[in-house]
Amino acid sequence: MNAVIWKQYGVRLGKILSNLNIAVVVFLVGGLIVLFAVPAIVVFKILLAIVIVICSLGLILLKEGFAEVMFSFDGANSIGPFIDAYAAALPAIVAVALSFSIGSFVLLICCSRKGERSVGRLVFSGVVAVLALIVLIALLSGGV
Amino acid sequence: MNTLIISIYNARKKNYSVTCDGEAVGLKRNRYGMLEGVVNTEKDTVCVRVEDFNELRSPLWFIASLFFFIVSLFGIFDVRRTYDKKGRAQCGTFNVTFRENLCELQLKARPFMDGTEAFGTDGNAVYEEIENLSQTDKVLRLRARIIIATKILLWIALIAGIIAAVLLSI
Repeated sequence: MNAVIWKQYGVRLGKILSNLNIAVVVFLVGGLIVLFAVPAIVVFKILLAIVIVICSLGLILLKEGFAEVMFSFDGANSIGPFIDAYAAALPAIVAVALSFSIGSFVLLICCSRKGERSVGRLVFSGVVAVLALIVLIALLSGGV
Repeated sequence: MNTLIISIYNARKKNYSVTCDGEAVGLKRNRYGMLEGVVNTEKDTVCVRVEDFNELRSPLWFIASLFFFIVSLFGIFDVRRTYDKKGRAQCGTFNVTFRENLCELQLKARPFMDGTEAFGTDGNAVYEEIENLSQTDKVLRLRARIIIATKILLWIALIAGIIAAVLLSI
């Protein structure tokens, strides 16, 4: 198969990984704000409520009463388990962000042509990789 | 040693693959969006083929499309434009003869119009035009439609699976 096609596949995969990385970082940063800044919990509750409302709207027609269960969460008591789960999953999320960053950086560097490289994506991947590595080491060594 | 400089103008939003006697030519994009490549050869005549890039020409077109669709979480995180859904293809083949050691072949990509010339040519290279055509490739169009239909079916299957899982869990 033509080398050009392989390189294009590499660029495409690198961009997809970069997009996924952005989503993971948004989730990571959002979760960190909730985890370490208590006042921001209101923001998280609003976002969570929006997601639940959107998900529930489709389910109301399917099963009456399901939405009531979904809407019945009451503030910090309902959010507590989410925070615990997030804190437990934090090293895994950081590791995913690190691997996505390295993957997208390597693919974009190796496969894209000179003059066509997505500088923004490369910088983002590099910065996230370094920060994720620092956070991961701190988490695993018990520093955080 | 003969040197051929190949330049493709009006290629800002497009991607082209260039081969010289069957071997891929490395292209660089300059700050104006023009693609440039250099070929060094001992031959007096070379066959240059310029083709717009389309992933659907690959032998692994279906598997690759499916792979990227799933990896990007059902296309949500995929890049925007990966192939032309209408199967529009532009290709040109030129036999270039070296009368000087340094020749330049300048190609200007024309806007797509079915059945018309794909590239305007310029430069000091002496060439014979073998093929220079913009056309709708029916195979590429069919492949694009198959991929779109597959994606729709996968989305329907996903939604049906989620609904079934929710109904069974309640």
